[in-house]
Amino acid sequence: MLEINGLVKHYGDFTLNCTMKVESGRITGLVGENGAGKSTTFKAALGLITYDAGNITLMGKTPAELMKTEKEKIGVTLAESGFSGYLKVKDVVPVLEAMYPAFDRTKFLDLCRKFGVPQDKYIKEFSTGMKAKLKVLAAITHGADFLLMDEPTTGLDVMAREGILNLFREYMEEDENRSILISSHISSDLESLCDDIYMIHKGGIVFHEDTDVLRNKYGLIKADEDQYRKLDKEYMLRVRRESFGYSCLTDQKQYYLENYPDVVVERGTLDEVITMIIGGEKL
Amino acid sequence: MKGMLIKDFRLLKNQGKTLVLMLLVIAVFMNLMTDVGPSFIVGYITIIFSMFTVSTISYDEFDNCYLFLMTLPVTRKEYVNEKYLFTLLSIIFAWCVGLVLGTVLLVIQPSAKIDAVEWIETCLGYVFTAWIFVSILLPLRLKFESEKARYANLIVIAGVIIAAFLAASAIDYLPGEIVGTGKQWFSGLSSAGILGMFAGITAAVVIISYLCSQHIMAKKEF
Repeated sequence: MLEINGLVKHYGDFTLNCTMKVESGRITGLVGENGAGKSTTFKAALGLITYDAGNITLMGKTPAELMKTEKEKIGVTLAESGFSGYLKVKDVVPVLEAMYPAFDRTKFLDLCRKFGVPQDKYIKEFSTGMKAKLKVLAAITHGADFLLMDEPTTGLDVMAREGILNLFREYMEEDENRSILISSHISSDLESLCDDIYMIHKGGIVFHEDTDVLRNKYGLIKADEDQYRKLDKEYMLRVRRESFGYSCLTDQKQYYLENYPDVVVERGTLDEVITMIIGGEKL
Repeated sequence: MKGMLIKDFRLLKNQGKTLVLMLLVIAVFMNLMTDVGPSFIVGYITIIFSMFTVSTISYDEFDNCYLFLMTLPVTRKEYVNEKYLFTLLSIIFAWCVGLVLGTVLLVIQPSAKIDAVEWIETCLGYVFTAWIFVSILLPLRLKFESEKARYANLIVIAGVIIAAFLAASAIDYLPGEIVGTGKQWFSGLSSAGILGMFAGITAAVVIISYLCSQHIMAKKEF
C-alpha cells in the first residue's frame, strides 16, 4: 500500500530520514513524540510537501502522480487540519457525496449520531474531541482501501478513543485487503490495534517490530548490580542505569526467564520499549 | 471539483448572507441620502462582493484546513480551476443582485431617462472590473498567507496607480501624430466597441492571472 525508501526532508535544523512500509491487510503504527517527524512523513506520502531524497509509492503511484481516482481510495486525517470551521456537518455531507462515489451517507450520519457529532453546529465551535471524531468518520465512510490517520485519537476521552479504535477494527474486518497507517503519541492505542509498529525519534526510524513479537518476546529485565554482572548480555538491546541497579530491554524474554529465575523479567509494553530505545544505552 | 464548488457555495451561504443584506441596505441608503446614481450602486455591490469571494481562500486556511482539502480527491490544478470558476460565477450573482436593485432605483427615480442598452453596457463594465480585480487578488492570496497578502494587495494597488500615472504622463512625451491617431481611433469606437475592448482586456488579465495561480499552486508547500 505504502512504501517509503530513504525519504529525506530538511526543515532548518530538523532532518527526516525515514524508511518504512505498510503492507496490504495490515495496520501499521507510527509512534513518536511531538516533533519527531510523524506528520512530515504523512505530508510527504500524500504529496503535500516536496522532499530532498528518497522514493515514496502510495498505492503504486508516487505522491506527485496521485490523481483523483487514487485519492478517492484513501481516507486521511491530519493532526492539525480538517474541514473549515465555517462549515457545519450538514454542509460537509453534500461535499463528501460529490467527492467520493462510494460515500455512505446513511452510515456517516448514523455514526455522527452515535458519536455525538452535531450536524447543525459550526465546526469551529466543536470541541477537540468532536473535531477528531468527525475527521475519522469522514475518512472511513467512503469505501477507502487505505487509511492514513495522523493522530486520530488526539483530544478524545478514553471511551471515545476506544470507540474510534473499534471503528478501525470493523473497517479492517470488512475487507481483508485494506490497510491503515496510524500515528499516535499514545502508545497503548497502537499496541492494542496495530500489527506492526515503527518508532520515530528526532526524524529517524529507530525501531520496527511486529506487535505480536513485541508482546511475546520483548521483556524488561530488572536486575541489581550483582545480578546484572552475571547476566548474558548477548540478547540485550538497551541498558539503563536505575536506582536499584539496571533495566535491560531484551527481545528474548523467554531465555532470561528460563535461565535467570531469580531476576525480574517484566512484559515489555510499548511505552517501556520506547523509553528504553530512546533513553537506554546500546551495548 | 463539484465537491469544492459545493463547499464554497455553502461557505458563501453561511457567511455571505449578512454581507449581501448589508450591501443592499447601504446601497439603498446611499442612493436615497447622497447623490450617487444607480450605476454606482451596481458597481459597489459587484466589486465589494468580489472581494468576499476571494476570501473563501481565508476560510480554507482557517484551522489549517488547506492541508486537509489537498488530501481529498482534488488535484492542485482542480483547486485553482474551482476558485476561478467560483469567483467568476459569484461575481455574476452579485452583479445580478446589484443590477436588479440598480434598475429598480433607476425606474423609481422621477427624472429617470432610461436607455436600456446604455444602462446594461455601463453595468457590464462593472463585471469586467470585478473580474480584473479578483484576477489580481487570487494569485496574491494563493501565494501569500492572509496577513502578507494584505500588504501585497496594497503594493499591487500602489503599483497599478503609479503605472497608470506614468502611462498618462508618457503621452506628453510621445510624438504628436501617434497620440493623435490613438485618440482618433479611440473616439471612433462605439460604446459596444469600447465594451468589447474592455472584455478583451479582462479576458487577457483573467488568463494571465489563472496561469500565474496554477504555477503558484503547483509549487506550494503545505
